[in-house]
Amino acid sequence: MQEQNGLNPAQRELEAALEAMIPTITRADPIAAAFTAGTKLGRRRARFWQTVTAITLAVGIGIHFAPITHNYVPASSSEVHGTTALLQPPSAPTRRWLDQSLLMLQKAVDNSGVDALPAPRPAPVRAIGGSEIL
Amino acid sequence: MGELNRLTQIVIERLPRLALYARQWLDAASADDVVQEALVKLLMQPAPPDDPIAWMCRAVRNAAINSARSSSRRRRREQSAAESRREWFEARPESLIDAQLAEQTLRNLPDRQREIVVLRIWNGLGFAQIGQIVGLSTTTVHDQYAAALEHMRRALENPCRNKTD
Repeated sequence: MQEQNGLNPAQRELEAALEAMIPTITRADPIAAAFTAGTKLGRRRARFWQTVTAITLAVGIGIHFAPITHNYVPASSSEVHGTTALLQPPSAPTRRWLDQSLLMLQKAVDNSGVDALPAPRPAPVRAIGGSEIL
Repeated sequence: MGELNRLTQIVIERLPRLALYARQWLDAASADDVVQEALVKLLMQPAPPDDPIAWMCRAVRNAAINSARSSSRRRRREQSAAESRREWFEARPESLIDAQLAEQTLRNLPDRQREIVVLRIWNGLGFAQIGQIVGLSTTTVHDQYAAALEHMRRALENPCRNKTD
């Protein structure tokens, strides 16, 4: 018995007869499917951009309202490890000269010489970590 | 765009065959729904699959099995099945096999064999592709296919005995 593709002639004949049979028409609608797919894709894209906008807005609001704080750590603190740098807070020189105006200093020098000048006070410093520099 | 058109055209021509495949688990109305869902999923793919027919067969199979398992859908399905009875094949005078007899013979096959026959004959898939979809080796698929054809041949040779079975 001659066999092709593992099938005998009778089976191949049946296969051919079955192939000729046409399944009944389906009610699936390709146009409606295309429309649904387009709608869903559009909705998905819109949802993506809505999410992006909401996140951006939330971050923006957070940045706008969040207080900017600086943690001042004393230079002598034993908790400071690693690389540290000492910086002067920007307000320190201003505060030092406010209570000693130029006129008052000039007057004091005129009256009593250079010795009348106030002793220099070390500026307050804060320590920052190496990670803050980078 | 041309690729998408070509792909859509290939699939649209095969929709009745895919619906026949879905009917291995579902009635006509639910099978149509499942094919429609699979078509929507295909059209939503960012890139067209290499083999759209095999892709659709897999999508239809998964959706049909899920649908068959759903109890709420089962109730609705039974209701719609009672309302609308649709044959599997078009009755044509030139057909060598009677449409109803072919459907009956197919229905009498074991589930796995029937699925393989539908995928092979009406969806034109190779044994390796069928093996990937149904989770069997190519050799097993081939053996099951040959056994199914033999079973059908005997049943069609003696349709009266088949009906009493």
